[in-house]
Amino acid sequence: MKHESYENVFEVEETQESFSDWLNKPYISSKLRKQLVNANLLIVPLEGVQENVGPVFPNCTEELCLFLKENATADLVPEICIEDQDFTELVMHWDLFTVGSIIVKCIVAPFAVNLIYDYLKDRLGPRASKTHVKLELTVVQEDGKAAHMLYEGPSKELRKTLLPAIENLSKK
Amino acid sequence: MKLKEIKNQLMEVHLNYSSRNSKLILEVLGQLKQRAVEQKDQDSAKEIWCLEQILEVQDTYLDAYKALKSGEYYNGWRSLERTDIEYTFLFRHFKEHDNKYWIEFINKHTTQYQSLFPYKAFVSPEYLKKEVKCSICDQVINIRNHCGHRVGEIYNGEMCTRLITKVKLLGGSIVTSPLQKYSVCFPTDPKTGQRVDHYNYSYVKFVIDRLQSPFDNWDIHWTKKRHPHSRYSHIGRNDKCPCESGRKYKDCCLPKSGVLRPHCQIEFSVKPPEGLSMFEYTD
Repeated sequence: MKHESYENVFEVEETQESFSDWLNKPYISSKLRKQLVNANLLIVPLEGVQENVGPVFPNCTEELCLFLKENATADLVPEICIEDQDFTELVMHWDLFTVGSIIVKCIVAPFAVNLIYDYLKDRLGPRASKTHVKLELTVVQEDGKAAHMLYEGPSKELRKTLLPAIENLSKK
Repeated sequence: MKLKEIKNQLMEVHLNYSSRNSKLILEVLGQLKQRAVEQKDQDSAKEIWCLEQILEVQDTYLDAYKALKSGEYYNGWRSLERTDIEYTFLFRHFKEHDNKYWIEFINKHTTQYQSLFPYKAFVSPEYLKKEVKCSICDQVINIRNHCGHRVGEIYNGEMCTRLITKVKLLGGSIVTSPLQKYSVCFPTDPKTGQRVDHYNYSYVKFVIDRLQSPFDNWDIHWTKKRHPHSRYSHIGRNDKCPCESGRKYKDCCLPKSGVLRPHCQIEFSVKPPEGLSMFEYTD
């Protein structure tokens, strides 16, 4: 069996996306909003996957969320943008490992990327070197400007692709 | 049977694979693990889990070898996929990567066998996990009030997994790179309703026929090589090139010294049985 090779993708685009966009989603209660407002990293859902399907997260988001919360230092406050009872994972049919969509404040973004990299190493084990991963990362600067980064490529290249891009953003 | 004896049996699998009693080994390991758990000895319970897992990796690999030897290629494929999955479970807990239990050998050869198969299309479902439970505490997973058991970690000698108790199926697709590789596409004979295995397993057969033990070492190298035009005499000048470039034969490989096709070079460390050719052409 010859495995189809995925193409490597890395795109950076300016975006209007912000933390408040996510906090003001109709599926977030005012009680949860008060909790999420302190977060500087939000795991956000996919919307509009199919008709009659609400916001969903990629497979293994539970593990990602737990890993980030267990391993975050005091500077990083990770949260997930969904009510407990609405949390649902979507299992897709291909072997591309979708980490998910994350919005993060620029100041903690390098630490977040390092943690995600460690999570992938831990989660993928012996398959880490040959698995392609997909991550959408929105990095929000202090002045509110934001960049959306799309990474699709080998898990082992994720850190060295994203970190310089985040550094460039900080310099701007 | 004591733990040391079991370890020896697992280390000497290349000598005892046809005669060892895996069922008995598993039974004894289960008893030893129960004792360790009762004594709250988590380290020993985890070590025994690793031995159970090593046995599982070895046994599924042997199942694959037996199936391939007897020409049951799809069954062999399924056992190889199982071996790969069991190895992944073991990997994060197994610190002895010196191959004394033949685990690295098995992992390498599992990947090599898989690369020989012709399967390209798989059926794969897409679904929502509506309710998920922890295999350790049976608690329904809640994203904020988490039970704390981590997937893949060992608790009381058992690996923590997630049990999906309610799903919503969204659809099924035919894909080339599936999450799991069991669901190979086979046509069905409309008259009998039976599965038809139309695949060409010549690469697998070439290798398996030349091995005398599942622990004979062999290596594979995939390259590209020009094959003689005489083998493609049935292809017209204006037909698509057999190299699968998508271009016309006359504009692609025909003017060259041969057709550029994938070439598989296999090296055996143990001499194959007499009478078997060392070369084989396949398309």
